[in-house]
Amino acid sequence: MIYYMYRVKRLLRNKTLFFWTILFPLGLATLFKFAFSSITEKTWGFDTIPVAVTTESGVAAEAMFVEFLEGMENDGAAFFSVTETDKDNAEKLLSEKEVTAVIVLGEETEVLIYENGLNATVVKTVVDNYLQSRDIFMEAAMTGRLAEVTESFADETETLAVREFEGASKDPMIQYFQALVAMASLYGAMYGLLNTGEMNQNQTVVAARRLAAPMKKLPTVLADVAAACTIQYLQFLLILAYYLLVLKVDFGRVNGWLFVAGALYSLFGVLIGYFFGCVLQKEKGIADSVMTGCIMFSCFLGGLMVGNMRMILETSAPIVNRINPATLIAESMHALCVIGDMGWFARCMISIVLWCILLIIVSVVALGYHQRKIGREGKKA
Amino acid sequence: MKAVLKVAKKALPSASIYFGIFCAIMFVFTFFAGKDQEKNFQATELTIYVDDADDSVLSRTLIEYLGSENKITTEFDKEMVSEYLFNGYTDYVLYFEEGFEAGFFAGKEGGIERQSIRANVAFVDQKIEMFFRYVRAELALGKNMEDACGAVLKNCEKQAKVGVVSVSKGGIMGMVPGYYLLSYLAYILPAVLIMILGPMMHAFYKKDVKMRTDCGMVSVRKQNLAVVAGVAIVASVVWALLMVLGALVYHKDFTVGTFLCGMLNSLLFLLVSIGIAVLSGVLVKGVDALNGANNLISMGMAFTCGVFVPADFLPEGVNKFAEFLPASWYMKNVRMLFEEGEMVDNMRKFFENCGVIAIFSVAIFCVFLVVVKRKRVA
Repeated sequence: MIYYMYRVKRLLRNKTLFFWTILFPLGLATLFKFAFSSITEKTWGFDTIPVAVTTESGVAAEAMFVEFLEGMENDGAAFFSVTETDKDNAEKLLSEKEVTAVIVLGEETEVLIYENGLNATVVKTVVDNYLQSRDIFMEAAMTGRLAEVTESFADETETLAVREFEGASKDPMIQYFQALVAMASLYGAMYGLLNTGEMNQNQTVVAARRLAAPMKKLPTVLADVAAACTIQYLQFLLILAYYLLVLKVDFGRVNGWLFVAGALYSLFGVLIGYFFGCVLQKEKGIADSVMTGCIMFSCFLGGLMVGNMRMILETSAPIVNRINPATLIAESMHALCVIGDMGWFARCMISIVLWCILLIIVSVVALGYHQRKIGREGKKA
Repeated sequence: MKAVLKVAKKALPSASIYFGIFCAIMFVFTFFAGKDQEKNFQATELTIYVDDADDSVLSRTLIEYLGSENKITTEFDKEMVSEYLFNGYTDYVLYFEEGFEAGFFAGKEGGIERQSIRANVAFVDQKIEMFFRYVRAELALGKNMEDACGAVLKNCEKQAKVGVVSVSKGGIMGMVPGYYLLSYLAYILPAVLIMILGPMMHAFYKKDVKMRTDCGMVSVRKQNLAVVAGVAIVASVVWALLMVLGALVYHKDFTVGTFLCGMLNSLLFLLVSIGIAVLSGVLVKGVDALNGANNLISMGMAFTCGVFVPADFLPEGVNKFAEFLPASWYMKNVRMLFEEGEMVDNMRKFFENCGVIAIFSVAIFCVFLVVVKRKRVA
């Protein structure tokens, strides 16, 4: 226990690791919040569209049309804010981007827009609907069935029903934050790598001193792993608290399973460090660079740089999503917190457990191989 | 001078990582950058997934009606619908229940459901409800379902004429690769220069080293000149390399005027980047810490000043805060260069922004000189 406590202290005192595993993810999360918090609202949100209505000279204004526009609503919010004005002023408003479109009523109704886009499409669709309705009424008037058509138009039967989206969060930008948790978890590998370096007499003097101590190796290694996992788990909790309490990220449903999963993510990250430390024993710098490169690539595939990367791979190379460490972590959080699919979450957790078992086996085999090699070289010398 | 360049050479491998990132980003944007819009109106096409269990005349007509302006997909993995919606693969999903047409005929409510997480596609709901009104009206005119549906489709050919006043390139999200070249310079210049000039400054202004060199034959003035020359050479090489690379690959995206203005803008930002790099070099201790500081400074500035995400999409508070950072003034100019008509109308504004960037660089150099002087006194 004392050994474990000292190890925790020793790992916490490493300023470089403290920066990369704790401060850097928190800093990046803040930047993500700055950058992505308004994107969904601005691209997917509903805003009342400002339009100007004007008439060609000599044509009487159609009060019914303005009423029609002003009457359109979406969830209690008006679709359009209408300004009735003369053509010159309407065009001025358009060029100053005060309105999205100018509707010019006349012999041939025209829509003037500043630039193409969804709002312009909405205005055009509504004007089309108005013109098409007018044609139907004119046809009905000519055939003497105006009353029937008016009655059918007044029919309030709601044929279209709304099926709610089942996810707990409607913000796809959340995927960047999930990928960031994956990155922070995988950065736990740095603690694993430091631990292996300080147990390998070929690499550090600290390791030589530790190995000379009258203590069995297995408890030492287990205490090292436990200390690294503890710090890593605390870091996971800190990031989660920062997301939810400070940045107020809409993370979806947060329940007890997330905290259990966090412990497994921490162990996974640390074991990855052990794997690289045991397999690439020759030089610490090489193991460090290869490990960082692999983690960053894994995070790229997990959606840290391109939010919907997981979906892109799901449709083109789903096998990558089944085995990539960062994707497994991000996907398990997505399944648990956003979609609420426990089966999917369990599948990800099982994959992570299998990864952990594989990493332990390969690390132990590689360590044994290197120890035997050192022994043989020692005998030769 | 030789020693200065030798230290710079040592820092090249770590700086080359940032060059790699820059080239990769440029490569990606060559494929994904927006294309110029037509001068005519183009409706924004939504992706609508349709699950038609009814397969009736009415459902098929509605699909055709919506398909005239949108992209309709009828074959998709139904278990993945939530994922498709969440990731924006589809904007809108329509589910027709079996017996929908019969129910419509009988005046029942429901029979068709829609699912979407976008609030701004509500106009499609209106469009669908209008479609049903047209069909009811045509039925009221005494037509059968098939004729009514045919009449509705024919009636939909009647459309308003649309005129487009401006030919914008689809907003900032649809810019050409040349835009990304200049905007990503705001990230890459400080990042690369901090990685090269930082260790240089660190080496030459380290207390012990400084004391040893001061004991030598070279005067302090000559030492400083050598450092300044070294910094100027390294910074010029980095800047020239990026500009030549950009000019070779993206020359089609520039006119002579925009390229020259872009060069002036980036040259001023280069001065700011040099200032940031040398200041970081003397303030931050150790290469590891410098690496961390580099990430926070270059990425932080890029995120808040609209390099990675356009300023239009950033919260108002972040945009206001960004005005205290030089990269936001640089980005304002870059944006001006690529938005049609903006440069012609705002030439004066462009040079004002250049002036602000120049003032930033002077201010940072002043801080650098104060820090160096204080260190020397200490």
